[in-house]
Amino acid sequence: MLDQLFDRGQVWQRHQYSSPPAIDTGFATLNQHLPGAGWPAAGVTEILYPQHGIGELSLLLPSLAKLSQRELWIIWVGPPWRLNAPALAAAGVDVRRILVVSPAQNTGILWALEEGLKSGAASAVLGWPQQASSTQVRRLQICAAQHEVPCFVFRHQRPGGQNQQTPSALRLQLKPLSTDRVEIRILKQRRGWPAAPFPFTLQRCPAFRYPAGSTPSTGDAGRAGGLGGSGNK
Amino acid sequence: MNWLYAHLPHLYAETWLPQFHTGEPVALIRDHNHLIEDANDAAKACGVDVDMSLNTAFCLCPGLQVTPRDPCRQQRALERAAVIASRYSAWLGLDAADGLYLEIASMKRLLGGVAQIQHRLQLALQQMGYSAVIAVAPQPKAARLLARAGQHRCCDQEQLIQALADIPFTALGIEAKTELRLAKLGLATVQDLVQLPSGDLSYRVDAELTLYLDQISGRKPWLPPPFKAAERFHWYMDLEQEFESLEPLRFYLAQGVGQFCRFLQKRCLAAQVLRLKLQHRHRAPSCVDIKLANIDNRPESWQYMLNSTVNRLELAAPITAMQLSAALFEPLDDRDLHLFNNVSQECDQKKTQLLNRLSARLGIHNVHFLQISTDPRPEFQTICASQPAAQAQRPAAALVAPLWLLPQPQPVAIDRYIIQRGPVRLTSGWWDRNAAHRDYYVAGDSGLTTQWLFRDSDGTWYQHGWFA
Repeated sequence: MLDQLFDRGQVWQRHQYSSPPAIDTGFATLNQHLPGAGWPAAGVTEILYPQHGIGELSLLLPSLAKLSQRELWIIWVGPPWRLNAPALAAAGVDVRRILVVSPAQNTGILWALEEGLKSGAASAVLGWPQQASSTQVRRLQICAAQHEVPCFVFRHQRPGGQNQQTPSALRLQLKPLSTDRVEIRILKQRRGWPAAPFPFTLQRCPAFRYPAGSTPSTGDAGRAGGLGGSGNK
Repeated sequence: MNWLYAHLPHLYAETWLPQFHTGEPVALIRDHNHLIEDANDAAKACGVDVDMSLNTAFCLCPGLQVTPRDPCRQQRALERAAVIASRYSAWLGLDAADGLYLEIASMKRLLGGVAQIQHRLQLALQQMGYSAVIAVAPQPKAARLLARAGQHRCCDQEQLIQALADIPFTALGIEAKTELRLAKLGLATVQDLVQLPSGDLSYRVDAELTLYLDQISGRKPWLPPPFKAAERFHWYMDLEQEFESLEPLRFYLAQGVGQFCRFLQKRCLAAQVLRLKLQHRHRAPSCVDIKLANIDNRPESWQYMLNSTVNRLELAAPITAMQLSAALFEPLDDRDLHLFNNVSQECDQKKTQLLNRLSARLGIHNVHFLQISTDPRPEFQTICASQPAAQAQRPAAALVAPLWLLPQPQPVAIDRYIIQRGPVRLTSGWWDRNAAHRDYYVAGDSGLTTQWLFRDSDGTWYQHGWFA
């Protein structure tokens, strides 16, 4: 039966399709779970996170470090807090390539995201919209696909509502398990099914630089430096 | 006969003091030492003279009107005169406060001879109210010497040497000591000096004086640095009625901007800022800068920026007049002349375009790049700059800091947290008011987030960032 269907060419085999262009995430575990073994290079990646400070940004750092080697800019639109340039530089990101745009309103954020995608001057666009309807995400998705720019949309997730449909190329949900582990659930991926959540080790803070223990004593501020960011090894 | 020198002895007074040529006594004083610098005929008739102290002058002439000299206006007066003179020569040099060099050898044929040029320039300056002494000589410095000595003449090399016989060497303005020395040698005029062998003069008297004499006689070349008149763009429109919105005036503004672009294109220049000044009836005028991300002279860029600026603008009061002005220009890069732009230039153009669009709609202060400073305090390490740093920057020696910083450290209750790592001590900033004595900790809270806390010297705990 199956053979007949094969003969008639009526079976879609996943591996026949060339995998979509992707950007290496820098994490072997994550690459395995993502279609094309990386972030969609021409599409919107939505990252849902329940609260700040669970490693939502560290997830991107290795790929941003690589993208920042290109002449183009990485555009950050409407970041929720002040971006700390030395920490980025320590993670290997070239801060010269970073353009921070902070519009006052949500519409401004969406507009700036779209402009960034269309401009041809960006190697990646990151956005923190307060709200983005399905239509607005579709617009971004179309722009990103047309101009072949990766777009990362961070969405502070309120309880519930993660199951609404999305036109984005990839949608991830993060859930903290412990201080250096998160659970990643792929809610949507192109050419694939939503996968079961998997645990993922993500070092949010280069903790080894700090002395362990909690007794307040003198420390040496001047020595620390160099590596920051993340590693999954 | 190459060079013409116009000396305008009363330039400042003639430009800025309209009463100078009336019958009232008027004097100009130097700003720093209150000595008379210039006086009109009426004042001189009372005995007021140059280099006289102000008190003496007032004793001689109680009704004297006195004005101090402003160096800035002095320069502007000279530039005005230079613009008039620029009709007669392409190479114009400014000299000190009140003199102009003109190269005229190349203009002789066009303007009908040296005497003609001299005459026409004299007339042109006279019409503008300037009295001038004009001399022509083969060397610029020689012409200057003649004009400043009050010799209104035109001479070639031979005549020059003769003419120098009429000028005492005190007109050279050399040091009193040297002057005395020359007088002891029995020398009296500049001609006497010029005819001496310059090697000996240099060795025995003064090397600088010798160089000056050589430049006068033409044994050594010297040319004045050329002067270029500053360009300004100015567009003004008076409105017949008061307008409460710029909306109906968009068309006129667009015309003004169009003129501006043509102005730039004609001169192969580009600009980054155009100032829009709006006059109100009962208020001080308000100014808005129309600013591009990079220099440009294309109408579409400027029109787009004008529209976005006008969209964002809220008028403080009804307007009665509008004005566009620009004074800062840059020569256009030659890259625009290439037929086939290479990729990186195309990319630069796209970047500029994006910056323009973003800053037009969101405001220039909402779009910035990052630079890293050397300050050890985390809150001062990131600088928001309008341009990316020229070279790759690495933090010299830094705390291991999180990616997100709070705009202000927030006081927190420490009992909610579990300290994971720490402390790292930071003591810095003793040189200004924001001294920091902090112990930094990495801490987690019940929501499994990782935060950056510090304890102040007085024991208060603050959150400073998120390890995101």
